[in-house]
Amino acid sequence: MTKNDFAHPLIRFVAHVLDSLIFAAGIGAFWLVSPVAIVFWLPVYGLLTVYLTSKFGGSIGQILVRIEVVDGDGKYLTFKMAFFRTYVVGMVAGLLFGLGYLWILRDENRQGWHDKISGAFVRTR
Amino acid sequence: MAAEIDFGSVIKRSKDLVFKNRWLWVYGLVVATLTGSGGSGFGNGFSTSDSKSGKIPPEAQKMVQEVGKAVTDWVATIPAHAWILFGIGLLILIVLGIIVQWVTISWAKGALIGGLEEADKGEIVTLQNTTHFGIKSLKKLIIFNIITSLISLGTIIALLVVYGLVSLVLSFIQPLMILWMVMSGLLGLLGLIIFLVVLAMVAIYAERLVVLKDFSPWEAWKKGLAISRGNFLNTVLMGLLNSGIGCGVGCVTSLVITTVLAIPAVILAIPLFAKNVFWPSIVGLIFLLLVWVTANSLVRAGLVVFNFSNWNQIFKKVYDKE
Repeated sequence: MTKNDFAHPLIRFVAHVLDSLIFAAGIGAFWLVSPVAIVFWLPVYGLLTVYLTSKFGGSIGQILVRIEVVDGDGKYLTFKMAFFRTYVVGMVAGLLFGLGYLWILRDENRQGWHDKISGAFVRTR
Repeated sequence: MAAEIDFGSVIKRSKDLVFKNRWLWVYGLVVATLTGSGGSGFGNGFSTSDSKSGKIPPEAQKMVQEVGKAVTDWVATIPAHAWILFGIGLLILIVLGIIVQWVTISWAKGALIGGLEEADKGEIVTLQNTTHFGIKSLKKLIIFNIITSLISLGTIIALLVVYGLVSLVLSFIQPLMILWMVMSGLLGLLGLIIFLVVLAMVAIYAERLVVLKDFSPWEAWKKGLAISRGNFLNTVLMGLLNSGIGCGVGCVTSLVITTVLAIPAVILAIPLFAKNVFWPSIVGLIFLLLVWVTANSLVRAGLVVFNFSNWNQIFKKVYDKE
Protein backbone atom coordinates (compact mmCIF):
# COMPACT_ATOMS: atom_id res chain seq x y z
CA MET A 1 0.00 0.00 0.00
CA THR A 2 1.27 3.47 -0.86
CA LYS A 3 0.53 6.68 1.02
CA ASN A 4 -2.16 7.58 -1.54
CA ASP A 5 -4.06 4.40 -0.69
CA PHE A 6 -4.41 5.39 2.94
CA ALA A 7 -7.46 7.42 3.87
CA HIS A 8 -6.87 11.15 4.25
CA PRO A 9 -7.15 12.33 7.87
CA LEU A 10 -9.87 14.78 6.86
CA ILE A 11 -11.98 11.96 5.37
CA ARG A 12 -11.49 9.95 8.56
CA PHE A 13 -12.61 12.98 10.54
CA VAL A 14 -15.74 13.33 8.37
CA ALA A 15 -16.52 9.63 8.96
CA HIS A 16 -16.12 10.24 12.68
CA VAL A 17 -18.50 13.20 12.55
CA LEU A 18 -21.06 11.10 10.66
CA ASP A 19 -20.77 8.33 13.25
CA SER A 20 -21.25 10.86 16.02
CA LEU A 21 -24.40 12.19 14.30
CA ILE A 22 -25.75 8.65 13.93
CA PHE A 23 -24.98 7.99 17.58
CA ALA A 24 -26.78 11.20 18.57
CA ALA A 25 -29.75 10.32 16.33
CA GLY A 26 -29.92 6.92 18.07
CA ILE A 27 -30.05 8.65 21.44
CA GLY A 28 -32.88 10.82 20.13
CA ALA A 29 -34.80 7.81 18.79
CA PHE A 30 -34.38 5.86 22.04
CA TRP A 31 -35.42 8.96 23.99
CA LEU A 32 -38.70 9.00 22.06
CA VAL A 33 -39.33 5.35 22.95
CA SER A 34 -38.36 5.84 26.60
CA PRO A 35 -35.64 8.02 28.14
CA VAL A 36 -34.41 5.14 30.28
CA ALA A 37 -33.88 3.02 27.15
CA ILE A 38 -30.88 5.18 26.20
CA VAL A 39 -28.71 3.03 28.43
CA PHE A 40 -29.27 0.15 25.96
CA TRP A 41 -28.28 2.22 22.96
CA LEU A 42 -24.69 2.52 24.16
CA PRO A 43 -23.80 -1.22 24.10
CA VAL A 44 -25.99 -1.81 21.02
CA TYR A 45 -24.23 0.94 19.07
CA GLY A 46 -20.85 -0.11 20.40
CA LEU A 47 -21.22 -3.74 19.37
CA LEU A 48 -22.86 -2.78 16.05
CA THR A 49 -19.83 -0.68 15.15
CA VAL A 50 -17.49 -3.56 15.95
CA TYR A 51 -19.63 -5.99 13.95
CA LEU A 52 -19.74 -3.69 10.92
CA THR A 53 -15.98 -3.17 11.09
CA SER A 54 -15.34 -6.92 11.07
CA LYS A 55 -17.98 -7.72 8.44
CA PHE A 56 -17.90 -4.70 6.11
CA GLY A 57 -14.61 -3.02 6.99
CA GLY A 58 -15.90 -0.01 8.87
CA SER A 59 -18.53 1.83 10.86
CA ILE A 60 -21.53 3.38 9.08
CA GLY A 61 -19.66 6.68 8.76
CA GLN A 62 -16.61 4.95 7.27
CA ILE A 63 -18.75 2.98 4.81
CA LEU A 64 -20.52 6.19 3.74
CA VAL A 65 -17.27 8.04 2.97
CA ARG A 66 -15.88 4.91 1.28
CA ILE A 67 -12.97 4.07 3.53
CA GLU A 68 -12.20 0.70 5.14
CA VAL A 69 -10.18 -0.71 8.02
CA VAL A 70 -7.94 -3.63 7.05
CA ASP A 71 -5.02 -5.55 8.53
CA GLY A 72 -1.54 -5.88 7.01
CA ASP A 73 -2.79 -8.51 4.53
CA GLY A 74 -5.64 -6.32 3.33
CA LYS A 75 -8.31 -8.38 5.13
CA TYR A 76 -11.01 -7.04 7.42
CA LEU A 77 -10.23 -7.27 11.13
CA THR A 78 -11.72 -10.14 13.14
CA PHE A 79 -14.52 -9.26 15.58
CA LYS A 80 -12.11 -9.65 18.52
CA MET A 81 -9.49 -7.43 16.92
CA ALA A 82 -12.08 -4.85 15.88
CA PHE A 83 -13.35 -4.74 19.48
CA PHE A 84 -9.78 -4.47 20.74
CA ARG A 85 -9.00 -1.65 18.28
CA THR A 86 -12.17 0.30 18.93
CA TYR A 87 -12.52 0.11 22.67
CA VAL A 88 -9.27 -1.03 24.27
CA VAL A 89 -6.63 0.75 22.25
CA GLY A 90 -9.14 3.36 21.09
CA MET A 91 -9.18 4.48 24.69
CA VAL A 92 -5.38 4.46 24.75
CA ALA A 93 -5.26 6.72 21.69
CA GLY A 94 -7.65 9.07 23.46
CA LEU A 95 -5.25 9.60 26.35
CA LEU A 96 -3.35 12.88 26.58
CA PHE A 97 -6.25 14.68 24.90
CA GLY A 98 -6.37 12.47 21.84
CA LEU A 99 -2.66 12.52 21.01
CA GLY A 100 -2.94 8.98 19.63
CA TYR A 101 -5.59 10.11 17.13
CA LEU A 102 -3.70 13.29 16.21
CA TRP A 103 -0.76 11.01 15.38
CA ILE A 104 -2.60 10.20 12.11
CA LEU A 105 -1.63 13.69 10.88
CA ARG A 106 2.11 13.04 11.10
CA ASP A 107 2.40 9.32 10.48
CA GLU A 108 3.67 8.18 7.09
CA ASN A 109 1.10 5.36 6.97
CA ARG A 110 -1.56 7.66 8.41
CA GLN A 111 -1.96 5.37 11.40
CA GLY A 112 -3.06 6.48 14.83
CA TRP A 113 -1.78 4.68 17.93
CA HIS A 114 -4.87 2.46 17.90
CA ASP A 115 -4.10 1.48 14.28
CA LYS A 116 -0.44 0.76 15.02
CA ILE A 117 -1.20 -1.34 18.09
CA SER A 118 -3.85 -3.42 16.34
CA GLY A 119 -1.86 -3.65 13.08
CA ALA A 120 -4.66 -1.91 11.15
CA PHE A 121 -4.61 0.44 8.19
CA VAL A 122 -7.41 2.69 7.02
CA ARG A 123 -7.55 2.93 3.22
CA THR A 124 -9.90 4.19 0.53
CA ARG A 125 -12.24 1.58 -0.94
CA MET B 1 19.53 -19.02 47.99
CA ALA B 2 18.72 -15.35 47.29
CA ALA B 3 20.47 -13.68 44.37
CA GLU B 4 22.94 -10.89 45.05
CA ILE B 5 21.62 -7.76 43.42
CA ASP B 6 23.40 -4.52 42.65
CA PHE B 7 20.49 -2.13 42.94
CA GLY B 8 22.55 0.79 41.65
CA SER B 9 23.17 -0.87 38.28
CA VAL B 10 19.53 -1.99 38.08
CA ILE B 11 18.33 1.58 38.53
CA LYS B 12 20.90 2.99 36.10
CA ARG B 13 19.92 0.48 33.42
CA SER B 14 16.23 1.22 33.95
CA LYS B 15 16.85 4.95 33.62
CA ASP B 16 18.59 4.36 30.26
CA LEU B 17 15.77 2.12 29.03
CA VAL B 18 13.09 4.60 30.07
CA PHE B 19 14.61 7.52 28.17
CA LYS B 20 15.64 5.50 25.08
CA ASN B 21 12.27 3.80 24.53
CA ARG B 22 9.60 6.46 24.50
CA TRP B 23 6.97 4.25 22.86
CA LEU B 24 6.85 2.23 26.06
CA TRP B 25 5.56 5.34 27.80
CA VAL B 26 2.24 4.77 26.04
CA TYR B 27 1.81 1.52 27.99
CA GLY B 28 3.06 3.26 31.12
CA LEU B 29 0.44 5.93 30.61
CA VAL B 30 -2.31 3.31 30.31
CA VAL B 31 -1.20 1.48 33.46
CA ALA B 32 -0.78 4.75 35.38
CA THR B 33 -4.19 6.03 34.28
CA LEU B 34 -6.18 2.86 34.86
CA THR B 35 -4.53 1.65 38.05
CA GLY B 36 -3.67 5.00 39.58
CA SER B 37 -0.09 3.86 40.10
CA GLY B 38 3.23 5.31 39.09
CA GLY B 39 3.31 8.57 40.93
CA SER B 40 3.60 9.44 44.53
CA GLY B 41 -0.02 9.87 45.36
CA PHE B 42 -0.36 13.36 43.99
CA GLY B 43 -3.49 14.76 45.52
CA ASN B 44 -5.43 17.21 43.40
CA GLY B 45 -5.87 19.46 46.40
CA PHE B 46 -8.72 21.36 44.82
CA SER B 47 -11.13 22.96 47.22
CA THR B 48 -14.77 22.89 46.25
CA SER B 49 -15.93 25.18 48.99
CA ASP B 50 -17.77 28.31 47.97
CA SER B 51 -17.63 31.33 50.22
CA LYS B 52 -20.93 32.60 48.82
CA SER B 53 -22.85 29.40 49.42
CA GLY B 54 -24.89 30.91 52.20
CA LYS B 55 -26.10 33.83 50.07
CA ILE B 56 -28.20 32.28 47.29
CA PRO B 57 -30.62 34.89 45.89
CA PRO B 58 -34.35 34.11 46.43
CA GLU B 59 -34.96 33.95 42.63
CA ALA B 60 -32.25 31.30 42.26
CA GLN B 61 -33.65 29.34 45.22
CA LYS B 62 -37.12 29.42 43.62
CA MET B 63 -35.71 28.28 40.28
CA VAL B 64 -33.79 25.40 41.91
CA GLN B 65 -36.97 24.32 43.72
CA GLU B 66 -38.97 24.40 40.47
CA VAL B 67 -36.35 22.40 38.59
CA GLY B 68 -36.22 19.90 41.45
CA LYS B 69 -40.02 19.53 41.41
CA ALA B 70 -40.04 19.09 37.61
CA VAL B 71 -37.40 16.36 37.83
CA THR B 72 -39.30 14.61 40.66
CA ASP B 73 -42.57 14.78 38.67
CA TRP B 74 -40.82 13.39 35.58
CA VAL B 75 -39.27 10.51 37.56
CA ALA B 76 -42.70 9.65 38.98
CA THR B 77 -44.17 9.30 35.47
CA ILE B 78 -41.73 6.51 34.53
CA PRO B 79 -43.20 3.07 35.29
CA ALA B 80 -41.42 0.57 37.57
CA HIS B 81 -40.63 -1.90 34.76
CA ALA B 82 -38.78 0.87 32.91
CA TRP B 83 -36.61 1.43 35.96
CA ILE B 84 -35.89 -2.31 36.12
CA LEU B 85 -34.86 -2.24 32.46
CA PHE B 86 -32.72 0.81 33.15
CA GLY B 87 -31.04 -1.06 36.00
CA ILE B 88 -30.33 -4.05 33.75
CA GLY B 89 -28.96 -1.78 31.03
CA LEU B 90 -26.79 0.05 33.52
CA LEU B 91 -25.51 -3.28 34.86
CA ILE B 92 -24.60 -4.40 31.33
CA LEU B 93 -22.73 -1.12 30.81
CA ILE B 94 -20.86 -1.46 34.10
CA VAL B 95 -19.91 -5.10 33.37
CA LEU B 96 -18.73 -4.14 29.87
CA GLY B 97 -16.76 -1.26 31.36
CA ILE B 98 -15.07 -3.53 33.91
CA ILE B 99 -14.23 -6.11 31.19
CA VAL B 100 -12.73 -3.41 28.96
CA GLN B 101 -10.73 -2.07 31.91
CA TRP B 102 -9.36 -5.51 32.85
CA VAL B 103 -8.49 -6.29 29.25
CA THR B 104 -6.78 -2.92 28.80
CA ILE B 105 -4.71 -3.16 31.99
CA SER B 106 -3.67 -6.78 31.32
CA TRP B 107 -2.77 -6.01 27.72
CA ALA B 108 -0.76 -2.91 28.67
CA LYS B 109 1.11 -4.74 31.44
CA GLY B 110 1.94 -7.66 29.15
CA ALA B 111 3.10 -5.38 26.35
CA LEU B 112 5.19 -3.28 28.74
CA ILE B 113 6.89 -6.30 30.33
CA GLY B 114 7.62 -7.85 26.92
CA GLY B 115 8.65 -4.53 25.41
CA LEU B 116 11.12 -3.82 28.20
CA GLU B 117 12.62 -7.28 27.76
CA GLU B 118 13.16 -6.58 24.06
CA ALA B 119 14.58 -3.15 24.82
CA ASP B 120 16.98 -4.69 27.34
CA LYS B 121 18.23 -6.99 24.59
CA GLY B 122 19.03 -3.91 22.51
CA GLU B 123 16.08 -4.24 20.10
CA ILE B 124 14.26 -1.18 18.82
CA VAL B 125 10.80 -1.19 20.35
CA THR B 126 7.67 0.33 18.81
CA LEU B 127 3.97 -0.06 19.43
CA GLN B 128 3.69 -2.51 16.51
CA ASN B 129 6.39 -4.92 17.64
CA THR B 130 5.47 -5.00 21.33
CA THR B 131 1.67 -5.15 21.38
CA HIS B 132 1.72 -8.91 20.62
CA PHE B 133 3.21 -9.56 24.08
CA GLY B 134 0.10 -8.04 25.60
CA ILE B 135 -2.34 -9.78 23.27
CA LYS B 136 -0.63 -13.17 23.69
CA SER B 137 -0.70 -13.10 27.49
CA LEU B 138 -4.01 -11.24 27.87
CA LYS B 139 -6.15 -14.25 28.75
CA LYS B 140 -3.59 -15.71 31.14
CA LEU B 141 -3.11 -12.42 32.97
CA ILE B 142 -6.87 -12.00 33.39
CA ILE B 143 -7.16 -15.55 34.76
CA PHE B 144 -4.21 -14.84 37.06
CA ASN B 145 -6.03 -11.75 38.39
CA ILE B 146 -9.16 -13.81 38.97
CA ILE B 147 -7.11 -16.44 40.87
CA THR B 148 -5.54 -13.69 43.00
CA SER B 149 -8.95 -12.16 43.71
CA LEU B 150 -10.37 -15.56 44.71
CA ILE B 151 -7.41 -16.33 46.98
CA SER B 152 -7.76 -12.91 48.63
CA LEU B 153 -11.49 -13.39 49.08
CA GLY B 154 -11.04 -16.93 50.43
CA THR B 155 -8.37 -15.84 52.89
CA ILE B 156 -10.46 -12.92 54.15
CA ILE B 157 -13.56 -15.12 54.58
CA ALA B 158 -11.52 -17.83 56.39
CA LEU B 159 -10.00 -15.26 58.75
CA LEU B 160 -13.40 -13.71 59.47
CA VAL B 161 -14.84 -17.16 60.27
CA VAL B 162 -11.93 -17.91 62.65
CA TYR B 163 -12.35 -14.48 64.24
CA GLY B 164 -16.07 -15.02 64.66
CA LEU B 165 -15.64 -18.47 66.21
CA VAL B 166 -12.93 -17.36 68.67
CA SER B 167 -14.99 -14.30 69.61
CA LEU B 168 -18.00 -16.52 70.23
CA VAL B 169 -16.04 -18.85 72.52
CA LEU B 170 -14.37 -15.98 74.39
CA SER B 171 -17.61 -14.06 74.82
CA PHE B 172 -18.18 -16.25 77.88
CA ILE B 173 -14.87 -15.13 79.45
CA GLN B 174 -14.98 -11.32 79.58
CA PRO B 175 -11.33 -10.52 80.58
CA LEU B 176 -9.98 -12.69 77.78
CA MET B 177 -12.48 -11.16 75.36
CA ILE B 178 -11.02 -7.64 75.85
CA LEU B 179 -7.49 -8.99 75.38
CA TRP B 180 -8.62 -10.85 72.27
CA MET B 181 -10.25 -7.73 70.81
CA VAL B 182 -7.04 -5.70 71.25
CA MET B 183 -4.72 -8.48 70.05
CA SER B 184 -6.85 -9.46 67.06
CA GLY B 185 -7.14 -5.81 66.02
CA LEU B 186 -3.36 -5.33 66.04
CA LEU B 187 -2.59 -8.73 64.54
CA GLY B 188 -5.32 -8.28 61.94
CA LEU B 189 -3.87 -4.97 60.77
CA LEU B 190 -0.34 -6.36 60.68
CA GLY B 191 -1.53 -9.51 58.93
CA LEU B 192 -3.44 -7.49 56.34
CA ILE B 193 -0.36 -5.40 55.52
CA ILE B 194 1.84 -8.52 55.19
CA PHE B 195 -0.84 -10.25 53.12
CA LEU B 196 -1.10 -7.31 50.70
CA VAL B 197 2.71 -7.08 50.39
CA VAL B 198 2.97 -10.82 49.65
CA LEU B 199 0.16 -10.59 47.07
CA ALA B 200 1.93 -7.68 45.36
CA MET B 201 5.22 -9.63 45.34
CA VAL B 202 3.62 -12.74 43.89
CA ALA B 203 1.91 -10.64 41.21
CA ILE B 204 5.20 -8.98 40.23
CA TYR B 205 6.95 -12.30 39.58
CA ALA B 206 3.93 -14.23 38.31
CA GLU B 207 3.07 -11.63 35.65
CA ARG B 208 6.63 -11.88 34.31
CA LEU B 209 6.52 -15.67 34.40
CA VAL B 210 3.34 -15.56 32.31
CA VAL B 211 4.59 -13.01 29.77
CA LEU B 212 8.28 -13.92 29.47
CA LYS B 213 8.36 -17.64 30.35
CA ASP B 214 4.90 -18.65 29.09
CA PHE B 215 3.78 -20.14 32.42
CA SER B 216 0.12 -21.03 32.98
CA PRO B 217 -1.64 -18.69 35.48
CA TRP B 218 -1.77 -21.22 38.34
CA GLU B 219 1.82 -22.41 37.80
CA ALA B 220 2.89 -18.77 37.70
CA TRP B 221 1.10 -18.14 40.99
CA LYS B 222 2.87 -21.02 42.72
CA LYS B 223 6.26 -20.20 41.25
CA GLY B 224 5.75 -16.49 42.00
CA LEU B 225 5.08 -17.33 45.64
CA ALA B 226 8.18 -19.54 45.79
CA ILE B 227 10.38 -16.81 44.26
CA SER B 228 8.91 -14.21 46.64
CA ARG B 229 9.72 -16.41 49.63
CA GLY B 230 13.25 -17.10 48.45
CA ASN B 231 13.97 -13.44 47.67
CA PHE B 232 11.87 -11.65 50.24
CA LEU B 233 14.48 -9.10 51.30
CA ASN B 234 15.58 -8.21 47.76
CA THR B 235 11.97 -7.78 46.70
CA VAL B 236 11.13 -5.60 49.68
CA LEU B 237 14.25 -3.48 49.09
CA MET B 238 13.38 -3.00 45.41
CA GLY B 239 9.82 -2.12 46.36
CA LEU B 240 11.03 0.45 48.87
CA LEU B 241 13.45 1.92 46.31
CA ASN B 242 10.69 2.14 43.71
CA SER B 243 8.38 3.84 46.19
CA GLY B 244 11.08 6.23 47.32
CA ILE B 245 12.14 7.20 43.82
CA GLY B 246 8.52 7.44 42.69
CA CYS B 247 7.62 9.64 45.62
CA GLY B 248 10.71 11.81 45.27
CA VAL B 249 10.61 12.28 41.51
CA GLY B 250 6.82 12.54 41.48
CA CYS B 251 6.64 15.13 44.24
CA VAL B 252 9.55 17.22 42.94
CA THR B 253 8.36 17.30 39.32
CA SER B 254 4.78 17.97 40.37
CA LEU B 255 5.97 20.83 42.56
CA VAL B 256 8.17 22.26 39.76
CA ILE B 257 5.39 21.99 37.16
CA THR B 258 2.86 23.57 39.51
CA THR B 259 5.24 26.40 40.44
CA VAL B 260 6.15 27.12 36.79
CA LEU B 261 2.49 27.17 35.75
CA ALA B 262 1.30 29.08 38.81
CA ILE B 263 2.94 32.34 37.68
CA PRO B 264 1.09 32.62 34.31
CA ALA B 265 -2.04 31.28 36.02
CA VAL B 266 -2.03 34.13 38.55
CA ILE B 267 -1.40 36.67 35.76
CA LEU B 268 -4.31 35.21 33.78
CA ALA B 269 -6.58 35.16 36.81
CA ILE B 270 -6.10 38.86 37.71
CA PRO B 271 -8.70 40.19 35.18
CA LEU B 272 -11.26 37.74 36.59
CA PHE B 273 -11.21 39.58 39.89
CA ALA B 274 -11.99 42.88 38.15
CA LYS B 275 -14.61 41.53 35.71
CA ASN B 276 -17.12 38.74 36.19
CA VAL B 277 -16.35 36.93 32.94
CA PHE B 278 -13.22 37.45 30.88
CA TRP B 279 -13.00 34.75 28.25
CA PRO B 280 -9.30 35.05 27.31
CA SER B 281 -8.43 34.44 30.97
CA ILE B 282 -10.78 31.47 31.23
CA VAL B 283 -9.42 29.91 28.00
CA GLY B 284 -5.85 30.53 29.16
CA LEU B 285 -6.50 28.96 32.56
CA ILE B 286 -8.10 25.90 30.95
CA PHE B 287 -5.07 25.60 28.66
CA LEU B 288 -2.72 25.78 31.66
CA LEU B 289 -4.76 23.12 33.44
CA LEU B 290 -4.45 20.85 30.39
CA VAL B 291 -0.68 21.43 30.32
CA TRP B 292 -0.51 20.59 34.03
CA VAL B 293 -2.50 17.38 33.60
CA THR B 294 -0.44 16.35 30.55
CA ALA B 295 2.91 17.00 32.24
CA ASN B 296 1.90 15.11 35.37
CA SER B 297 0.55 12.22 33.30
CA LEU B 298 3.83 11.97 31.42
CA VAL B 299 5.83 11.90 34.64
CA ARG B 300 3.60 9.12 36.00
CA ALA B 301 3.91 7.19 32.73
CA GLY B 302 7.70 7.43 32.87
CA LEU B 303 7.71 6.27 36.49
CA VAL B 304 5.57 3.23 35.65
CA VAL B 305 8.00 2.23 32.87
CA PHE B 306 10.90 2.77 35.27
CA ASN B 307 9.27 0.59 37.97
CA PHE B 308 8.43 -2.15 35.49
CA SER B 309 11.98 -2.08 34.14
CA ASN B 310 13.41 -2.43 37.66
CA TRP B 311 11.15 -5.41 38.36
CA ASN B 312 12.02 -7.00 35.01
CA GLN B 313 15.70 -6.89 35.87
CA ILE B 314 15.19 -8.18 39.40
CA PHE B 315 13.03 -10.97 37.98
CA LYS B 316 15.73 -11.98 35.50
CA LYS B 317 18.39 -12.09 38.20
CA VAL B 318 16.34 -14.14 40.67
CA TYR B 319 14.91 -16.43 37.99
CA ASP B 320 18.36 -17.18 36.59
CA LYS B 321 19.60 -17.93 40.11
CA GLU B 322 16.71 -20.36 40.68
